Amino acid sequence: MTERPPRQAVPAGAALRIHTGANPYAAGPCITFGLDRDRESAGAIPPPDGWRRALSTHPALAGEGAVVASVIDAAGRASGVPAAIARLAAALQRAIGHPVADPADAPTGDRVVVPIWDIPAGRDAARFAVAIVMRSRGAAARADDETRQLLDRFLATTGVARVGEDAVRLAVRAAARGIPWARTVPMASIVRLGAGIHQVHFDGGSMSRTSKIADSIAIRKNRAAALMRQHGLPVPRGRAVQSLEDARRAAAEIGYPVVVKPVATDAGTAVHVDIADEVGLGRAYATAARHGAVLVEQMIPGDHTRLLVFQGRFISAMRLDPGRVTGDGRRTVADLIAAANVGRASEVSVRDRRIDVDDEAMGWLGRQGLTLDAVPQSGRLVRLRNGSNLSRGGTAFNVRERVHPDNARLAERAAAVLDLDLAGIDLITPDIARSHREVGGMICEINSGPSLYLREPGYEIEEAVLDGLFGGRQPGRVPIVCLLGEEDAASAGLLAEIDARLAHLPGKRAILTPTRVEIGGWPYLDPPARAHDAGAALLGDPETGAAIVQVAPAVALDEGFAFDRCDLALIPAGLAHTPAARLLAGASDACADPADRPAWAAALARIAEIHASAAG
Amino acid sequence: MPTVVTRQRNLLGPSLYAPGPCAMLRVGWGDVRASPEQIAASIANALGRAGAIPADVATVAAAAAAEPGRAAAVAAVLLQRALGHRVPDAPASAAKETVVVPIWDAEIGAAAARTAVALVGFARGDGPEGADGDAEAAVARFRTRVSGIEHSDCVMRILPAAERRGIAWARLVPGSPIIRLGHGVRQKVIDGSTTPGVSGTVGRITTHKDLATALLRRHGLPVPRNRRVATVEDAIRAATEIGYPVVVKPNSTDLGTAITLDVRDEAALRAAYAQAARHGRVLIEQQLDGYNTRLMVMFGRFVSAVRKNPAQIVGDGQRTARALIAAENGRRGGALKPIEIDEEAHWFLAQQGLSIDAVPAAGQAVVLRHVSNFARGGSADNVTARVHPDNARLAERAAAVTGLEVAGVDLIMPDIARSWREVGGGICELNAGPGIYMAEADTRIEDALIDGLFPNGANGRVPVVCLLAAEGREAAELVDRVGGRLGDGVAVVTPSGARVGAWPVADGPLRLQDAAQTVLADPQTRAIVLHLTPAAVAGEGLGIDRCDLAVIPASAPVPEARLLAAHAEARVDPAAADRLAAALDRIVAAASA
Repeated sequence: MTERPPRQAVPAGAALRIHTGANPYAAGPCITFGLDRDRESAGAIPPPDGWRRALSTHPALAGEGAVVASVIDAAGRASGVPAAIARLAAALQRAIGHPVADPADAPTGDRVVVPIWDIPAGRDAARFAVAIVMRSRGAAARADDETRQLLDRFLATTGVARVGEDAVRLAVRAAARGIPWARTVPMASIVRLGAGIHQVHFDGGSMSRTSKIADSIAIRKNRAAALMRQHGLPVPRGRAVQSLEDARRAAAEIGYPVVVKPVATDAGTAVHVDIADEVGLGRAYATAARHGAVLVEQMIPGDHTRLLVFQGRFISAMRLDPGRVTGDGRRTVADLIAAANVGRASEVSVRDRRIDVDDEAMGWLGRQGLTLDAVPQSGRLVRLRNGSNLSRGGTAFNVRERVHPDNARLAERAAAVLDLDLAGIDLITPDIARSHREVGGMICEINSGPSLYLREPGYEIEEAVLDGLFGGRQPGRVPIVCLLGEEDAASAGLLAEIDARLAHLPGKRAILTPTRVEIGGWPYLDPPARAHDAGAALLGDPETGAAIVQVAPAVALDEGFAFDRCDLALIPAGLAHTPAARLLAGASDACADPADRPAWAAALARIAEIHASAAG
Repeated sequence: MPTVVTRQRNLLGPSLYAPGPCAMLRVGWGDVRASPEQIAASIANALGRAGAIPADVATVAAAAAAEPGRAAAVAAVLLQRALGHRVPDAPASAAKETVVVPIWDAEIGAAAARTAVALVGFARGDGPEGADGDAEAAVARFRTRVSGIEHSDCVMRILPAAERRGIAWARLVPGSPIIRLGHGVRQKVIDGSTTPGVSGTVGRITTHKDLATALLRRHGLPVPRNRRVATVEDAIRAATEIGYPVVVKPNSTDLGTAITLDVRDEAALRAAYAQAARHGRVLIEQQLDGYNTRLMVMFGRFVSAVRKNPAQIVGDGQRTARALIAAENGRRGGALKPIEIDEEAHWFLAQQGLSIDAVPAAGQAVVLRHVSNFARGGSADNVTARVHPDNARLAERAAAVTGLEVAGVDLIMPDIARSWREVGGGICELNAGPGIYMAEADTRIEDALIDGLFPNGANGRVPVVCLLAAEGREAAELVDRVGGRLGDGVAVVTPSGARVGAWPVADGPLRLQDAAQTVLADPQTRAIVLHLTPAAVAGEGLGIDRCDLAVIPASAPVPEARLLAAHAEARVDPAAADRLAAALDRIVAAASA
């Protein structure tokens, strides 16, 4: 069960305000809120040692904790607290793998400005940071324990668990290309890449262009195998069985050794490989049957390689090795496993995916004539797991360059037959560098929501995916025209004219003014009170082909904008040198005076041309 | 001597035996041991149970003794028609030992044919070897067998709509409810009314009611206030925040399962929560006032609306509630499931001062259910013509925001004929892959679905060229020439193998019909060259329903040549090289247009 963050820690009346676009508080997205001065009356009392110790030593904060404490020391209690909260909140978000910017160094007064990356995680980080920094007031006896608990709770309930590391990496690279992203709905792990009509959604490896039907076929292993077999793809012999009796018959037909797995689970759950006899079959059947219908399949010898195909093209391959350790002639199996788990703990992607010493591991040890206390000789591979899924202690190696072209074609064809936009094809073959037609090889599984697995420094997989998703000169963006100023009859006429000039673009026009929140003439019911939030909703609207926004200067300075960048800013001469105008101009590709019709009309024509061709 | 089926196979295209797809069985009939009266009675009883029409049953019974093959063929047709399958009449000229049964669905048709032989055998007194029971038991086994693979009501409306447009269909894999419409690269795969344009990712949002309402609310659509809760205490808090009465429902089930409406207090809430919690997380939702209308949106356009009414009976002052329910159930069928007399029905009767054996007054309407789902005994009125344009636009927008090509938008409003902006209302549920209902008497929904999948009257077919010739170098060269002209992605089927582009999909020797079906089904097939040998055509038929061009040498045997030509748009002799080239050019031009 997920715990709620300590909501009460933020002073009453100090609602968190979210600024996802260009804003006056920070260079990027941020959350701002005010602190209650009364609660900060502790004055110059230095933070207790226990609190300092807990922050400084927590492994996930990577030294940032000590900095947070020193910020308070350096600036003094009262003025240091907002900066310390911001710093800690940023550190918390980084600890879960989110790439947040550094907080600004400039003093922010009583206002806390927390740089964020993902809104829900940023909000949680802000709340926890407030709670933790508040623990620095007074000499609470158990401050170190409480602080550590809060840190642990944040790590356990927020972040990667919600969005997923693949989505984080994809969004990072999308943002670098200027592609806007956000969560599709705040409570779900689904991420939207691109704005308006260009949006696609990504959910733990599933791409929104993969249809629900293709998804449902891929998840039913026997149906997927039947379809692949029908289209001449190599798949192991096998069939769904109704009972243990039936499983025995199937195994006898197929011939031992066999694989037993549930028809519709993922991530290697209850998959049993290399079953040599009826005894093993009975055991395997019992666990697999807990997950519904069971499949008995021919066992294919060889390495397990996951080939990724995106939009019909092979983009990457990794060899997946089952959880195992390598002997060094000195340490026992138990020690080797412990050491391997320490290594995994330092990597965000496999942090929670330890190799447990369970029945499965003990079974493999027994088969290899080993015990936990045995000392395997140097270089000996000791296998501990059935499947090679990362989530079960497996490891992945990049073998993209080694894949034989025939095997790449095989993966592409499997993805085509199953109509998957992004597919992970699991090929078992003795040698991925040679053609499956020559050395044999079979597709043992196909995944419609594959993990991208490899955390390559160059983001090769993510870049290939983004290349496929967003071409054109304005990747994933809809044109945005922003008029600064109060709403009146003249501005309404101007917006109507802009609307008409963009009418030929694909999609509908979204209109946002202080009194209107509309998409294609459709007024939103109960639109959000903040212009920022209404703008974010419109830009996330799948019907939006272009956005026309009017923001009053005071609102711009208070909330910022919903966009990080707009195509054209219309700034009346009278406002030209105001802070709001500077903020908007800094976030615009082009500026014009609304009174200068030829200038803005020309700019608008250019924008329309770029986006019309980008859409085509 | 028992009745024996020595061979059975399906011919999926026109053949020398039947003008369309058929099942062919070779049968050794057992002796006649029963009297004509017994045979007739037994057949009438068994087919009657299967729901066959009595007049036709009499035909079967009359023929069973002297012409068992003919009787079995007709019986098999009746078994299929009883399931609503559109099967033509059995061919009149069947030999006794060869039973030719027209089929519609390949698997169900084959099962019907086998059942019909058993049925006639049993009726005559000698059933199939090793089979238990009698004619009636054979029909019962058939019903069990097909119940797992029968097409849904929705698919049974979509497939005829596809056929009206000349679009071919088949199951994705045997036994699968998923249907492939069209061929090759032009195919569209549907699952009920779920279309391939519906994203798996976004689809997951719509299956979680809390996420779906959050998305709709975010984009300015009217939805009830709601909150997902984890415990009964949380549910009580949520209901207090939202304000009674509330609706309690599982966050992700369908068909009205475990939904309780009109929950007015904490006690009722606890009961409703316990029921819903059996299906996972629970949603507490504001109750909207009004009628529940299902608006269907297909490919961005509102097409139809049905007002859903909860199960109810109307008293006549004479019959008891029990008798009225039985009478109502007699009228229901298809998607309209019978009204069950359960706890909920008793509770509603008690609320209205009645019991199951009480007699409601004449004209007294007695509601028996909270929810109006047809699976729970509800009924429906078509109100398409009355829907206010604003409400139609609301439904279209809900489908657009959630990325659903086909959506059933459930609106609760006091009056569907007035704008929701004026009289209020909200979307209480959004269904991806909604059923097509009985109240929709016309075919506009399924036609809209087919139009959306195959715009501009397209029939989802790829060009098919058939060559009728014996195996040999000459034929092989001709196949290569035709294949080369049809370009990339051409699938080539010959007696020695089949490939799609460069990819071998089957090695020979093979049944041409199976190979033809494989390449028709292949999503990478752009065009097909099918080399039929006269022997294969004589034995298996064409294996496909029609082709664009039949390449037939003058030397081809006449019956086979005539069969192929009758199912081809054009016919050409390969000796006339110019004409062949011109015909291929026309096909390529038409395909790229």
